[in-house]
Amino acid sequence: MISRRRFISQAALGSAVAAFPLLPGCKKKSGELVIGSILGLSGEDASLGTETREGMDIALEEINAAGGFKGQKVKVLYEDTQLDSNKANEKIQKLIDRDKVICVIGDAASGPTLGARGYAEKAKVPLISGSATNVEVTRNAKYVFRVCFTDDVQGMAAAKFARETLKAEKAAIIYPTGNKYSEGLQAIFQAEFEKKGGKIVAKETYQQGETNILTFLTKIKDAGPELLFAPVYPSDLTKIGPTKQQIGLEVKLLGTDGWDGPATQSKGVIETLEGSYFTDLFAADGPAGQHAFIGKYKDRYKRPPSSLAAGGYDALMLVINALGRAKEVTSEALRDALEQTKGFSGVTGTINIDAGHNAQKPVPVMKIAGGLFKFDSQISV
Amino acid sequence: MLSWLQNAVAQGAMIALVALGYTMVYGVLRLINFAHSEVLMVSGYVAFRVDDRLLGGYERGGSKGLIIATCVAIVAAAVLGVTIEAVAYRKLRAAKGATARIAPLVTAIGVSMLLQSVAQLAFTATPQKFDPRLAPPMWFVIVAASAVMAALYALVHLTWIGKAMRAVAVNEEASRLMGIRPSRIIVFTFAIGSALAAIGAVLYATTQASIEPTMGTSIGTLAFVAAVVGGIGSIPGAMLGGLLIGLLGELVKSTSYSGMKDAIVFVLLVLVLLVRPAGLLGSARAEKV
Repeated sequence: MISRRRFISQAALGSAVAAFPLLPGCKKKSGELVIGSILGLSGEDASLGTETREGMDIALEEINAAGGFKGQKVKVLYEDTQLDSNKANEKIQKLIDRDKVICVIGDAASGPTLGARGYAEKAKVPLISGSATNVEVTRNAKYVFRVCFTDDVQGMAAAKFARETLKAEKAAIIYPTGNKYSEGLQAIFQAEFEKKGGKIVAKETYQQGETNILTFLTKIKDAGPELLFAPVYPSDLTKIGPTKQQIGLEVKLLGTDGWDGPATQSKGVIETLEGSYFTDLFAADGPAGQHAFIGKYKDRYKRPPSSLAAGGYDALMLVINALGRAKEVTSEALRDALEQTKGFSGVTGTINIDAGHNAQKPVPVMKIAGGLFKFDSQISV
Repeated sequence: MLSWLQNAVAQGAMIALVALGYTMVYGVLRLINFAHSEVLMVSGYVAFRVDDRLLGGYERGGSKGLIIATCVAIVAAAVLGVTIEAVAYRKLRAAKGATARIAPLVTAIGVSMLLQSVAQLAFTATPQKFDPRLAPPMWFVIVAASAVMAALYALVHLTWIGKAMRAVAVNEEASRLMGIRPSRIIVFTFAIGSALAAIGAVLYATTQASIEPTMGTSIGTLAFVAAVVGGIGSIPGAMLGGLLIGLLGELVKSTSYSGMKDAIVFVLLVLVLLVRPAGLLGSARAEKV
């Protein structure tokens, strides 16, 4: 006789096996165009992913309100990477193999996008990021694209701004090791800053996730720079700002698009960053900020869109635009159409995909004034 | 230099506070209470929520609010610690033979995972932060942690209940014969250890870290290692181990190898254990069976 417990477990196993063949097919319905998205939606810097999704949500509504893609309803499947490159690799495989998506949008940051890149190339499915700026992301890639510029451009713009606008001669750099985004940017900034006759007087690295950075800022204070370049994400900035004030480190802070996030604007942090500058991918109040998307976003979320939201919107819109130009609705044809993108008008400006699969644009510089991000100037390199 | 030293000692003092919880429980039960780091995490949340929601955060509550919130968190942590002991560990103490050690250890890991997952459901995975303006100065962290540790030392060495704790640690059977009720002493030990973790959590969260369901693991690992290096079961050992890790960490941070801090610190600690396998202040005597 089978005991009751054993019977239940066998029954459960049996039904699980029976249900299994249904699983892969249940998400894909005919008459639907399914696009995948990998984004860091949880963790300390989750705002990078959630804001990108907010932008994509608005794009998706506009697309479906206008009848979808050639009569097909467009659907986006999201997977959370926690901004981790191994997770990103795992999640993109899931989307491509299980859900058979035509392309994948994401990630918001460089590290996870690099993690997902290998599988996109192998499976020959386009991967399009709205805001991953590290140079390596698209280097020699056939299937990886982005709708923003690269850190080459951003780092050079930051160095140019530091030397020519802020007239800084001595600069210090602080960044976490193991973060592809920060490592890439600091190297480009240093090379360009030194080429323009500036001097890097201190360079401090810390372990990603380090909670106490007082020692590093004290060393920087001893080196006496006029400017501190910090290509970091908001979670690190919430430590740098207050600690800088605590030890009375009097330098101008200069950052990069990684700063753009609500954690930077949190109480007790933004006050310590007053008067700082950072390069960004997009300025809602800048010359490129004339798009209907901005008003729509403000109405819904009660704040101006960040570069991440704008990047997410542009990435999804560009995919639909390219699919319209493609010969057929396949990943391969979409790739060819993406490569030929010229003069696509996005929220972040006019997007021309160049030979390196990047979209070079002028770099807006933002200033933190009165607790808000304000457009300051635009740098072309 | 002074501010560097102050910071390093403060880091060590916070680690030591948490390490004490591991070492005290090990002392009386020979159990590595992996759920200790989760008690720390939960008390961090309690302090944050009470301060932020009920007392108005920095703007309305100020540092007075933070002190009240800390007291609430200490009580909550003690209650949680005692509850874990009663629910998860007490029944298993009767076990004999091979499972006597393994079963509580596995349960401890299970409780740790359970609490982490519950916290993720209850508080979401989004990290929360105390207003940086609530952060106490580093000298205050040192003074507060030292005062708490001095009080603990006095409790263990000058009071009746402290004497009973030491007696249970040496020999539970014998202390029972002397009229001590080990189960009460064990409950008391869990309460005190958890309360220390709550103080550590508030100091840690206000001065540097954000509060999230996994925050216990980062400081908890350091504290556990501090307890082992100091000699697990030894209270002065945990203090010494915490201080050592804090100082070593800050030393590495001031070199150009700062990006590999944890790796270097842990290699140094392994070297310490190779020379003194029982830890710096641990006793190497054979365990009685």
